[in-house]
Amino acid sequence: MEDILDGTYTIPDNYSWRDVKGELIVLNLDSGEYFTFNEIGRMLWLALSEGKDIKEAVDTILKEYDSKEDDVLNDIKSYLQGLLDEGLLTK
Amino acid sequence: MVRFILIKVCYFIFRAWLLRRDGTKRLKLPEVPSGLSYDEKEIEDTVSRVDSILSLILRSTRHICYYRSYVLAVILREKGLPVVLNVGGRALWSPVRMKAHCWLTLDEERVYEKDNSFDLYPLEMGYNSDRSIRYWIGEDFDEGVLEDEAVRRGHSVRV
Repeated sequence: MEDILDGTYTIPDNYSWRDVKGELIVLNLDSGEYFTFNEIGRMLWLALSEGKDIKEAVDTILKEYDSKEDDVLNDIKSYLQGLLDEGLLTK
Repeated sequence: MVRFILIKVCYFIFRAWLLRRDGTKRLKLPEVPSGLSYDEKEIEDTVSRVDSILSLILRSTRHICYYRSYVLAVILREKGLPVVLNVGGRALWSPVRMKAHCWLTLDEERVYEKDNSFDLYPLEMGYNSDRSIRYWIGEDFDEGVLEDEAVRRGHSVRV
């Protein structure tokens, strides 16, 4: 089974986002639906939006957290799956 | 004429209400017919009539700016005036603090809007695909509200 961290992800064109004062708002411009993320989600989104691949994004997040690497990786994986399920990312 | 516009306004209020209630439906405005010229006096009369009807029907309703903007946008666009419906949101992650406002613009200038509450939504998020709806957010973020929930979601026209 393919590891979710092996893929390349892109943000669909109909999503717009703003990161202001440490809070990220992501908006689906066609549906009007908006999303706010926790800190891991924010870092992941911003890294991907800067064109980083998933491994670079994960490295960036791991550097910021003192927690066990496995725990952070599990959080990132479940977050990625959530973003894929919601259509916020495409593989 | 007045009866006709009354029926139309009631119908569009109902449609706007349905859109707010049903999260699966997308807010969508009609295309502006090309080559249709509009009469400014007629537009002003229409806005005035719509406002009079709305003030009677929606006297004590919250979200009046949303109903007003939606109804006016549909009617004016059908008449050939390419108004854009603007939706602004603030503190969208907080069920308690979130606020929103809707207003109309024409050629980037606000129209048929007396107050300046749209100033609270200075950050543009962008247009929808047919450029009939434009989204904005405010800056008043509350760091204590996000807590640890992974993703919060909501809908711009239902705050």
